[in-house]
Amino acid sequence: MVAAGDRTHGWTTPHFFVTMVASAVSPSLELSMRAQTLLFLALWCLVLRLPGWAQSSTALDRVPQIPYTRFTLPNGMRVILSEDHTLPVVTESMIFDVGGRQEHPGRSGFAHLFEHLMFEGSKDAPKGVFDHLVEGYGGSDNASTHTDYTFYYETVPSNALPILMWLDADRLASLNVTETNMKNQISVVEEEKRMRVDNQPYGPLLYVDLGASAFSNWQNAHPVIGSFKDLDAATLNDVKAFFDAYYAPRNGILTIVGDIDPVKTEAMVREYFGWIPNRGVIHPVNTREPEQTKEKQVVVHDAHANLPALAIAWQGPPRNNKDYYALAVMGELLFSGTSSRLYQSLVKQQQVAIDVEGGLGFPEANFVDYRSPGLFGGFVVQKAGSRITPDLVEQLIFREIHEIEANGVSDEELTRAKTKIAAEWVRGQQTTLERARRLAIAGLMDGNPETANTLLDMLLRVRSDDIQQAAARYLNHARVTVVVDQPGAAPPVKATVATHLPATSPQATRKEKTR
Amino acid sequence: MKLDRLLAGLLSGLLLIALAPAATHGSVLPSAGQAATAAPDMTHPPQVGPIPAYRPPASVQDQLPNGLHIIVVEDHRLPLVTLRLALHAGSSQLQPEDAGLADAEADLLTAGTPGRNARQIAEAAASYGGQIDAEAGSDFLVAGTSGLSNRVDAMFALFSEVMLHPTFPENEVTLRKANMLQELQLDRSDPDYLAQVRFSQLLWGRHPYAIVTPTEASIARIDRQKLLAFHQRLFLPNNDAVLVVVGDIDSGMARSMAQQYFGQWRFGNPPVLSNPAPPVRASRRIFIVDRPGSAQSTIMLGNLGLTRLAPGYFPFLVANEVLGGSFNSRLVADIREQKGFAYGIGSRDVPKLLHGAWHVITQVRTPVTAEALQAILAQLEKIRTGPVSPMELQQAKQYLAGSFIRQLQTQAGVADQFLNVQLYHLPHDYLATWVQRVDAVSAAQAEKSAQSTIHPNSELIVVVGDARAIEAKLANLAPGMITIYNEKGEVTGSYPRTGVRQVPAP
Repeated sequence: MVAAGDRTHGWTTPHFFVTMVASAVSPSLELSMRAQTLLFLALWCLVLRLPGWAQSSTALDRVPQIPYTRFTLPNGMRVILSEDHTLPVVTESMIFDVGGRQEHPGRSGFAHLFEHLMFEGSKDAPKGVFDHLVEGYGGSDNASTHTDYTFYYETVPSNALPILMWLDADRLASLNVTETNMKNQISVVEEEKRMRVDNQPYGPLLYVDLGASAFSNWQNAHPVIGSFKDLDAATLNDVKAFFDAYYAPRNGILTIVGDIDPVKTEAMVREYFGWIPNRGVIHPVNTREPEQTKEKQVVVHDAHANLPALAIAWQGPPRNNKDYYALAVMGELLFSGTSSRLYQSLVKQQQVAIDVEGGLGFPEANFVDYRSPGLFGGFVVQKAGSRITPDLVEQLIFREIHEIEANGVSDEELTRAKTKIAAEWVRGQQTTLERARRLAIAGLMDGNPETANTLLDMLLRVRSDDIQQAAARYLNHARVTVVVDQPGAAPPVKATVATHLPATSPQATRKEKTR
Repeated sequence: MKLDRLLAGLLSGLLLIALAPAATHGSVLPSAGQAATAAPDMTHPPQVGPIPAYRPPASVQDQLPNGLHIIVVEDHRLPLVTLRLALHAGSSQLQPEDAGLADAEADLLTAGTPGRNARQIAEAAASYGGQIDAEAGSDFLVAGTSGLSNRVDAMFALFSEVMLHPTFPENEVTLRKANMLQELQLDRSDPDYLAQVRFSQLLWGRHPYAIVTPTEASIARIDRQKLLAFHQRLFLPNNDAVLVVVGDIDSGMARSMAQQYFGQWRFGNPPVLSNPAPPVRASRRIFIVDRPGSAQSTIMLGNLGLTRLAPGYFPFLVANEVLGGSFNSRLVADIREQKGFAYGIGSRDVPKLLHGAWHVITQVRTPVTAEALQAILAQLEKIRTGPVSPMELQQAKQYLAGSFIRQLQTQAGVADQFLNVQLYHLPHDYLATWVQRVDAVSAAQAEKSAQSTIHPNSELIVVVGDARAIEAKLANLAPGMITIYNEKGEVTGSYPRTGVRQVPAP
């Protein structure tokens, strides 16, 4: 499930949630927080060369590419460079092939805790130096932990690129975590969990209970933010083993985008990163998810919510197959903006909700973040009132899905959705950070940064019958999970949680629902 | 200390704004393609040059006969165009009993026109790849949209239709009012929102900047007639209105589209309001918004500040940066890193058209509320009296410069900057010289601006938290009584407690 852990800002969250917490961060942090919300629907590229181009041109007649070169260091570290001199700005990022899914039972939340530790000092850049230098040279930095990857980035005026290389190389070569620093960061992460999840309306719903309910394999079902018990149990041995296995050069990609000279930059990368040895061994985890055959419904009591809400999810298709592209477009049709089907139905016509959010990948920020299995899901903040039951909201959602499944979508509606996807993708490509993120995710998840330049075309080729078939296959009653968020404290505890299922939040009670 | 030695490079190599072209990287490099196997010297960070010369994007500016200002910035990197329209139609043009009307106006511009209903407007916007958003601030209402450059004509047409001919259909107004009531419930569960509402009320007094949120009563007063009257009175091209066009469009074509779609807009007589002066605060006062059982307290404190045109504005930007503007700041170092009271803390200057404000905001654990406030006040005193070190000065200036340049990466960022220049009547070279103006600030100027702008002894302090858990210790930090409010803004008591009483909100 979700939960990108952001070191200083809380998590990369669905748009709705960000708007609620944005005012809670200190003012100086708001800018980048806001920038992150732009990523929510950030979509991906297309390419002129592909045969499907005629269809794509209905949305875009000039196709912007992210240019790049790449090479691999002798130690196996992959490197992607992309040159752009529009402004004297450069982003350096490192992505590692590790996320919440690689955690072991008893250590939930460890990948995110480790992300924090990466800022706690290394051999030649002790605690405090990293942030002081990045900000002192006029830049910003942060990182986020997801189910399937961990992403670190810094954006600075381009004169300071050598400083970034020195800082990133030092922490990758010789991270230096002390017992004191680890305990300190466990407290910081726990405070973050309190602020962003436990004390927020809908926090447990979105970041714990939805994933815990929709998945049954612990590797997929446990929250990236973890539990207090598991975080407290972390040891320095865990830190060392995790660092050696997952933060070896061969397990990551360095991506540098912006005002660079590629030749000089490549030489500098070889100098700073080429000597770093590999360490440790990765033991793959089993993330296979059994097929769900019966609807699940869970009720969460939410003391912080003033309005009832509902989250809904289905296990999604494998990354990059035909249904994946179709459901990405389906997410746009159902959830994106005020012209979307569910906004029109739930907010405008039936007037049962004040907001809806969702799509493929939900509640991850974006469907490109997921390596299967992921979710197709949504979140509805309902109006108060006894007329508006969770069953009614669920029926209204299924009504739109069934309507599309039965009748397909008109050319006009489909073109509109694709035009929005194309424009949103172009908007996202403006910053060095977003281009670095796209190249890095494509490089890691698809094994080739070029998919950052071809994905949009795959989406623009989706046809109405592709969507009908994917909806029928994936978005049906037997595969659905509904989590109902009821405002108010939980009633006296009634232990109904079945033992074979992963733990939900303490506020959740589970009931199987049959149809 | 090792940290100081490592950071020393910050001072030596870092003059802002070189006039030279792009800097070269300072390290000695092996030739490209050659694999280095030995570790480089990692014991100290590499030396680097200054921030490369920065050129702000060029603009073409014009004014239509009806008074509308036009600013066009060409940006052909991507097939995208961004539009902004702003005018002097913010919440401060309203009476307090109409709080929320400007927000409703902004939200309902897209609710209907003579030719289209809300859904058709949303679909028309989606057809060029965007949506139209509008937001009312205290001075200005700002609307914007963006879309693919091959649909720019449709974008201009819809944007103009929505801005100039909104109809505010009855059913949409009714729905919006119902949802505003629900949103008010949602907002009131957020302690930072409660702090900001109370802080604004108390800071601005009878000045219209005081009103930042509607109430149940003011939402009830909103109707179609009021929305139409607001539009008629304030949506005038000569009411400080400005249209900004940024993107993949020829500036000549952008100007002719502006003429085509906004040239018929009738000018009128914008109202001139005279506002009462904000109150002058002689002594420090604490106010509590009670949230029984709250695990955290939100502390918000501050005073009136500076406008962008005030002589000491740039020195104050730098001083504020040193104090609490970034992660490197004194407040973060002390309150978060050293004392562990809070996860985040920051200080911020909020320059408006007529006056400025300045505040610190943080969320702390309930048991340390008074200690945290005391520590913050000590930091305010320190920035007024102690020196700003050369390293602090340099870091603050670099951070401001870097942040400014970074936000120009997006069309939205560029549009907002040009919009500000026009709306706040700033000099034409403002964007081109912004970084130099920051760079010119001396430590002495920063210290002086802190002395004249930050007033710990007459600070307005609002704490949202569990009153009974925090009031006694807080009372030691300010003279006089602490007034206690509930979440709706009603006065429910005071400390020292003299018996519970119910007094309506002022």
